[in-house]
Amino acid sequence: MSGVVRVEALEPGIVEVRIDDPEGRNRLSDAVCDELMDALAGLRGDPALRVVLLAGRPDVFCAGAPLETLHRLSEGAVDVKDLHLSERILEFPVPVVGALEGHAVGGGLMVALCCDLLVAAEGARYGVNFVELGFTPGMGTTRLLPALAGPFLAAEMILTGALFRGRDLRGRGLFNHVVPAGEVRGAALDLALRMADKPRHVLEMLKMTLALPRRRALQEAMATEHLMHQVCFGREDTRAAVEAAYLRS
Amino acid sequence: MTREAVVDVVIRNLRMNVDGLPAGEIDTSRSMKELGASSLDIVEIVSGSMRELRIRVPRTELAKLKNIDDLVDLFVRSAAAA
Repeated sequence: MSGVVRVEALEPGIVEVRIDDPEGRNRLSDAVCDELMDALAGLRGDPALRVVLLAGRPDVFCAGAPLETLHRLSEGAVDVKDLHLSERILEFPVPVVGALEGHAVGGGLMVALCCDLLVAAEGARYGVNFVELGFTPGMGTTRLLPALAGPFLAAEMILTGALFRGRDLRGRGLFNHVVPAGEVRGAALDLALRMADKPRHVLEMLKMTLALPRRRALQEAMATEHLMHQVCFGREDTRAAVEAAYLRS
Repeated sequence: MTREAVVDVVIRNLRMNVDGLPAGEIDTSRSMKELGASSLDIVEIVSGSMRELRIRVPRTELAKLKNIDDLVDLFVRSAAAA
């Protein structure tokens, strides 16, 4: 794989899938989504696989939707690839450990929250900033985030669009561990090593059971979030708000 | 509101959001990026400062700024116009 996603065997039973698109700032472009889903599809049948480590770049794990995707949403597109990606991670047969060395924002954070375990960086920023762009969240945010972070933190994240530092989210239900950025991959790998010697069928059954509430939450959210998007993007001022507020750097 | 007061607000928000800044006076002719702020740190610094100053500046204006002095000048003008 020579594009924007790298796949590397790290240890027996552990494979790393890494989003590496410096030009695109690791946004959920069609290329990133396609290559991630291809990578996961290619790995699922490997009988030796026990754990996938999902990682990004040191400065950014995933920065959410690119402007082109938001344009497509504003033109009424329903079938956006990033939602399929969330489903693929949630229904991947073995555990996925997210190693968030850098920022995860918007759809990027929601993809991360589909992992089974997460290690975040103290100084990186995490948030769901859809409201800053003038529209309602997608990617299952309105159900997944309250289920994971509790109603009050989720409300603050969704309604204010605040970008929290990892250290401010420590112990608040989103991440297993929050450590200095340089220690994130090591901590994630350690979690993976603890699972990699377990029987595959045991890991598969537990992954499926433990991920089921989030799969349901994602399904439940999709219908209402799509309706809210239709309201938002049916307004002329929304596209202008997106253009004005989109953080290009 | 005086320019000095605006500088205080911006520097306070900078210190709240960026680690490892020098203890003494910050050179406002430098950019926040040079001082170690990431682009998302800057979003929080700017939005926190604007809430404190009760002003709102379009992101398109913010994108043109080169350093902290430029940001302070923009805030001073916005506060005066409000």
